[in-house]
Amino acid sequence: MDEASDRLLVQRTRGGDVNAFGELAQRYQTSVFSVCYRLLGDSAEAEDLAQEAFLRAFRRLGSFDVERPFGPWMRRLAANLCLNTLQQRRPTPAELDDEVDDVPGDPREMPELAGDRAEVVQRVRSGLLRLPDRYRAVIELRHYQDMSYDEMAAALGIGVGEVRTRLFRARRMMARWLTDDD
Amino acid sequence: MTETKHLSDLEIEALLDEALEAGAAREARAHLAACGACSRRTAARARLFAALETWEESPPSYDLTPGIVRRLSHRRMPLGLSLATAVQAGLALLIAVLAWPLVAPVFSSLQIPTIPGLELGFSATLAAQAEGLLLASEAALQPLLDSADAWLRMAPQWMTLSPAIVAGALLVAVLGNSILLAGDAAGRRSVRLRRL
Repeated sequence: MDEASDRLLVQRTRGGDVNAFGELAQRYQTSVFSVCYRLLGDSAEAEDLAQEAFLRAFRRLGSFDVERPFGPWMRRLAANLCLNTLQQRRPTPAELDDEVDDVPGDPREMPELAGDRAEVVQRVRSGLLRLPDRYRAVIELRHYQDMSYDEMAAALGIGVGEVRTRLFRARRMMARWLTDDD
Repeated sequence: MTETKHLSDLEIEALLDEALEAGAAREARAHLAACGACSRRTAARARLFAALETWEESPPSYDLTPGIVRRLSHRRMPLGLSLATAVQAGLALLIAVLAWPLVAPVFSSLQIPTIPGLELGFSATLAAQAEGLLLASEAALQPLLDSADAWLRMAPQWMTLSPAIVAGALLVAVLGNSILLAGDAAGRRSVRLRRL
């Protein structure tokens, strides 16, 4: 995306031009929807949340630093909104423990990924959507939002050690599903 | 980190995430250069990281833009704010109605001085204006005193009820403003994520 023209659209929006914001939404709706879909795992809910994220962004545009790129700010705002939604449907700790214990294999080993690229793409998609919410969240923030451990800890309200642990478990589950022959 | 002590999984992941301190990262890389087992484990994890990057974005099933623009166009002002504004405007109107008996005589008796003819000089015009204003002030003062006197002679229930209504209206107005300010402050507060 062209950051200079994004900046112009932001400034026009601040001047009261709603259609300029519509243009920004048009540019970023796919990436914002993808963030929501990866985190929520449901396309209809992701579309609702993506729309809500844009409405929130419009209201908070006054505090946005125009010298920074709009896209990452917008995607992070969408991620925050989805994480808040996920928090409300959090499973019990017992369920999470069961999910983790269900993953077999030696955690010290991570075999070669199975299949060709198309198959890997498909397995990544289905694997991510199968992850428990809390593990999908850390994968999203680290691999797609490019957050540091500290930023993730702050965003999720947990310690850095817990971030490392969740990332490790999430990746181990993903590795298992990506290399599984089933 | 020595060559005989292998890297832990968390260390390997932290290295790939660029989350190790500079010194620890240097040691880890030195170990990897000499340890085939850790190199293979690191390469396997790097492949997993690369696989995660293959996620292909797909657009939503419909264009979200028209709905967003429509909702923004219909809600230029937050709903709570517009309702509060209407309530405050109503209260202001109520106060004006209650205060009207006091100020009506002033308006009705106020005599605006007429502008003299242009044949007079500037200083003479100014003097005439000042005299006219003085006369108007005197004329205005008398009805005001008459009005205050009339208020004092009004029915006792009006005298007791009116201040109570005005005080109540002012209280509601102050509370309304407080709620507005609190709502605005909440709106500006950044989203704090709850523990997930």
